[in-house]
Amino acid sequence: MLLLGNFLLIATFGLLAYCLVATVLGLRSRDTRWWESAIRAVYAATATVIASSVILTIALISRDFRFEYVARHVSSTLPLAYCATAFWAGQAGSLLFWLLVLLVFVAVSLRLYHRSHGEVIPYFILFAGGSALFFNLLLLMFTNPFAPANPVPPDGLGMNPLLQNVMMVFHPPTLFLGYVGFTIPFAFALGSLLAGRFALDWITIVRKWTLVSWIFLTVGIILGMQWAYVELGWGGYWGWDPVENASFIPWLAATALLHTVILQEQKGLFKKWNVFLVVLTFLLCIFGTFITRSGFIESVHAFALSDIGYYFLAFMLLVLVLCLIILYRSRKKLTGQNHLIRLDAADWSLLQWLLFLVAFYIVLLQIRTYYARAAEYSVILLLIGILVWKRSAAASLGRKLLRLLSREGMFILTNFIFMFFLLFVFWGTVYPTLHEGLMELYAGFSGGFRESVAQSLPGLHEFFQRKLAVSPAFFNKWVMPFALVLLFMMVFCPLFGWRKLNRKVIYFLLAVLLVLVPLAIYTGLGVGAVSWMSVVLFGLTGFAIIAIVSDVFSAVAIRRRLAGESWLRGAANLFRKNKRRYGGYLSHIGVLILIIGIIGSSFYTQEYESEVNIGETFIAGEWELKYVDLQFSQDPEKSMYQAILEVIRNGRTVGRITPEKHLHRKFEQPMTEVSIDFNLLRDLYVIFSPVNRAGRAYFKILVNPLVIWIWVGGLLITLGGIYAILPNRRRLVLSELAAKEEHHA
Amino acid sequence: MPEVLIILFALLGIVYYVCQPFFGKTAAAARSTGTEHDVAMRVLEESLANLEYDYRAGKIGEEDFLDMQSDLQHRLTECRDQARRPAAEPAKSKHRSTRTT
Repeated sequence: MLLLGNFLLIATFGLLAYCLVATVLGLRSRDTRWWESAIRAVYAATATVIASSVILTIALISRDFRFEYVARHVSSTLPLAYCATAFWAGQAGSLLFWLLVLLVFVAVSLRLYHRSHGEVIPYFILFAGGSALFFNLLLLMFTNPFAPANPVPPDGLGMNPLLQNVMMVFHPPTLFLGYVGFTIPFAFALGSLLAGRFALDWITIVRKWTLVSWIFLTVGIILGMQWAYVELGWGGYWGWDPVENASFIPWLAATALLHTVILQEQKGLFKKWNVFLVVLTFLLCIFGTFITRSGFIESVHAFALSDIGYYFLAFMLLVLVLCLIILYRSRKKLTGQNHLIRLDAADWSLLQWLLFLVAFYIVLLQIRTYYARAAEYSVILLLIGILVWKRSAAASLGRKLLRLLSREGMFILTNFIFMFFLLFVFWGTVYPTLHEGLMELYAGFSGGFRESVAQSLPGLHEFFQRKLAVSPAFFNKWVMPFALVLLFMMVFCPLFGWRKLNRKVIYFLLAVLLVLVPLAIYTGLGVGAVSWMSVVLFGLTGFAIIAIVSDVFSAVAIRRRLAGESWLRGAANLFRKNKRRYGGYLSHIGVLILIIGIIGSSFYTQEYESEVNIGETFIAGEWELKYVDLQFSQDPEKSMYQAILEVIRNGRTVGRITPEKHLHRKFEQPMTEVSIDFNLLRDLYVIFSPVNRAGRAYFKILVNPLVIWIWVGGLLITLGGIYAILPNRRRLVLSELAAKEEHHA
Repeated sequence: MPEVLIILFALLGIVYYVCQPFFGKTAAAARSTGTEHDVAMRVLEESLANLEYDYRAGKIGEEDFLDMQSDLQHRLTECRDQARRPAAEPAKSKHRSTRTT
């Protein structure tokens, strides 16, 4: 088995290397037999990787400790289901899984497009095959899942207890499917660029594969949140941990892409930007893997650390350089015929003056202690002077900028916000590590130099002396402006039409302001025990749901008017015939429901602690909890303490919760198994630690409101994505529909 | 020993499968077919239908609607024309590619 596994990995390497060589030879000679042979090599490599994955799975399930990988991640006492999931519990297995998914996706793409997009396919193979070859090389050179154990141990180490959770069966594979899937749009987009010809449907293919990968990534992130909530036992689901951020950053890029793709398909806008986003998403996926694998950044989620991460960094840099060259050389091919705003020389001149004014104001700010108000008045006067001097350019630019108050403009603004959000999370993730690097560099300088810096620039010296950390509180604080603006966009986007502002938007804006401003002022003044920010966020979420529902309602009303359909039939036909738009709406509703859950659980969590003996009762908000019993049990893997608590409300027992503490024999750290009593309004989240053998125990109770809405929202986002990807049948435009109806009559 | 035999047979099978295009008659040449037009037309038809909904829902004024409608229809007609055009000439050599222009 070991020999066969190694042979299959080497054969995969040979096949992938051959497919690249054959593709290049085919491109040079224009002999299609080379390409056909290269495609066959990819299919064969897929088969060999499938076979090697089967071998590893068999070895894991049969607990064959001759495999070093099996001996490290499986033990004779580990439950069988976790033996199978050990496939992705370690470094080598997860990389093999990555390669497997990648080659299956590439093979499916070749099967789908190798006849219809013949010119693009050779370049597609170069990128996708090159990427697969990189992973294959890592497996062969640094982390081979078929390495023999020497000596063969009588029993294996077993799996990290944190990974022994049902979420771990699904969370890593879905995340990998998401990460790997972005290779296909990346290879296809760059392949199209290199082939020098964009097929009419290339953006549709890119959208389809991006959406597939985005769905998997979304499911992976939501499952990861559930795993963190249930398994890590701190009461939260998102801690802005670097590994969590590493999956969220490409998700943001892909979400931005899914929005601008619509502009390219329907208006021919943003061709360059879309290619950039495709490349960026792929690179961020590799970056995510680098963070998870390298230990470059400390994380509670990093389970397989090694130096291998730095090869990812090298690969990422190589791809980046290659992409920049290709994008630069192909920039003319990507020039769109349409422009939302075309700035002419007069506009640029005005913008330069305004930029100069901003710079001038910044300089004045530094010396304003001396000139105070004179500085501000001079800037205002200068601004008025420039606007009068360049009045025709200002009027023209103003008219152009007004075009941003349209559906196109909203898409662009949404993209800006996603990009700022992405940069913020990215910077917050890498900044502490970069700062640490700078500290080390500074510490390497001579003492005399550092002393002179400390005397002349004390602030800078202190900056290099103090270790910085970006806490979750920092992220939570700064994420609010992004959430507010995004919610604001979600309220108004469904109401905007192409090109111009319409009355509906203005009326809706007035309604939103009339409701939310008084509420925010009322709560902001401290009346009641609610946070004004949560009220505004809840309010905006509600309005966003109303906007989507009203848009669907008005579309059904149009069908009723023109085709005489009933409300139900009209809605069914609407959803059936435009899966893209209404799948997107369903996803948006999912995001809004998820946001409701996040607002509830972020602003209104209550926390209680108590240390009690068996038979005692303690209070947690409106609940009384009676510590009934402590039970002890064990299985071959671990010892388990289980506390039994009765939940009493208004003097009546309403349920029973059983938090546990596990002591795994092969792992020293005790594991908390929380118990959650949930309903639509709140989670009663109980953490337990035994204090002594007599049964005294410590309990921490968290009342987390609306958490279940997060999972429901996640489900709706996924369902919406799946629905949006289903093929549409040919649609009749409304005038045809009306004519058809008349004909029937 | 059985493992070595399996490896040998697998190796032979892989080599035969990958090199087959050089032995037998050539497979169909790699070139673009008309399916891309179908997809593009479907997207344009969808856009037309959505545009009409937006117009009737009062999100777009009449002038803009007519302008955008004619633009989309123009693109649709172009796409249909391209789809109807005959495929590129077959390759001169049976092993040479036939790239569409």
